[in-house]
Amino acid sequence: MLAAIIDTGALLEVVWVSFAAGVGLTLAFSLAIAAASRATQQRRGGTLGSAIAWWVVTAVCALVCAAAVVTGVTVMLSK
Amino acid sequence: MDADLLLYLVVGVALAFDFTNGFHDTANVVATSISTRALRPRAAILLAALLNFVGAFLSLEVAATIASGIVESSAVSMSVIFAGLVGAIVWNLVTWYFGLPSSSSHALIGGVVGAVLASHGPDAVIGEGLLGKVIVPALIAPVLAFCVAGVAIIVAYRVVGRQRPGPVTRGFRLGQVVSGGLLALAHGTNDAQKTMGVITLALVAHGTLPAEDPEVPLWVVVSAATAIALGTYSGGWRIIRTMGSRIIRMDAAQGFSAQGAGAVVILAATHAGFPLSTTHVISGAVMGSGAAKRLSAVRWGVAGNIAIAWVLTLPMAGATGALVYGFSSLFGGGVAGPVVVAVLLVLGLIGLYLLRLRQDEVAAAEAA
Repeated sequence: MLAAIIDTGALLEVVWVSFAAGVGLTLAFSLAIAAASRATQQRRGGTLGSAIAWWVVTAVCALVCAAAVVTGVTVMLSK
Repeated sequence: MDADLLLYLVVGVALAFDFTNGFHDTANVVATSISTRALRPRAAILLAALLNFVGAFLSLEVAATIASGIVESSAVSMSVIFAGLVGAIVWNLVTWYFGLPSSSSHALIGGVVGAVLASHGPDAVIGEGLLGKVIVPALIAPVLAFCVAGVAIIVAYRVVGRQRPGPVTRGFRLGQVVSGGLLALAHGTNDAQKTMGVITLALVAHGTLPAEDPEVPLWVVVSAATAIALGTYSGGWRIIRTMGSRIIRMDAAQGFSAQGAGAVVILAATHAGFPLSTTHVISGAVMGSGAAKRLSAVRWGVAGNIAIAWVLTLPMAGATGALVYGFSSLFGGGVAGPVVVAVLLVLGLIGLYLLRLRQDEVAAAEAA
């Protein structure tokens, strides 16, 4: 009976997209923070190569987060 | 003449509802940012107000002709809309007074359903629509947001756990500014449209706009955007305190996880066309980010009070809407009833304002 009332497909989509995007976004942002922190430590320690590698990780994670924000705004615009 | 006056009243009350919607829901957007000190309170509220204003212009699709699919559209007259709006405003003010975050959308739907029940009886209410569009989403929203925020904060702690706390806190605070901004934008887009829908519907009922494919006038968009932004800027501090520090004492990572998970759940629901309340989502996310760290971190008594407010929203706003419709009808079917109700509402607001001033004076005297 409930399945006739609720759009089950839409509900399942909301659930999996929320988990994937919510956890993914937090993971990407946490990785960006951790990598930036590591990069700073490595730079202070004088290991420039390692610092650059961590900065690259930071940049990639930040780009993922920026893409998530742009996607969010696009969803609002296309409502 | 009567129809014109009733239209002005409906527009005025709709904008008043929009204002209460703004200050009631400010907490959804800013409470976590303020409590983790990601932003100063005034800056957080100013940013939220501006983004709510901008959000109102992002999409002009009048998606929700009010309570569509929940009550028979033929039963929705200007008097019903007026009574429903008053019911929603009263419930918003009651929950604000007790510092309880509750859904303004549910209050509006409850008010309209109550007024329809009073005017046309139970046959005009679509039970399946009420269950599918309001009650089931109200159960799903907080649980889903609770789980997503809970898993997200566990992941965040796992990733940044061994880093120095200073840069980590600064990083998450920066993230909160962005995620809070996204929430404010989404809130403006969703909630200002409700008021635009109400006013547009009243203009159609009045005959100012055509019933077929009515276009939302620019003044409606601007006034709805302004009302929700002003409401947001005036800040519902009681609810901000509840959301920001009375449910859990959160750190920046929890604040980011709650806001991020909340924004994602709301946008995923928007994309799928599944209606979820911003208030239910954010409250659930705040509780989830606290409970995942430690179950006892959540003040379950406060959470219980919030849940009770959610359960009561529909029936209480409905009862008020029905009462207002019934009371208005005592003065005949014209504009006299709504005028009397509007005067009583204004007097009530003045009384509430004076009561609040008195409480502030007492609090200041006790603190001195």
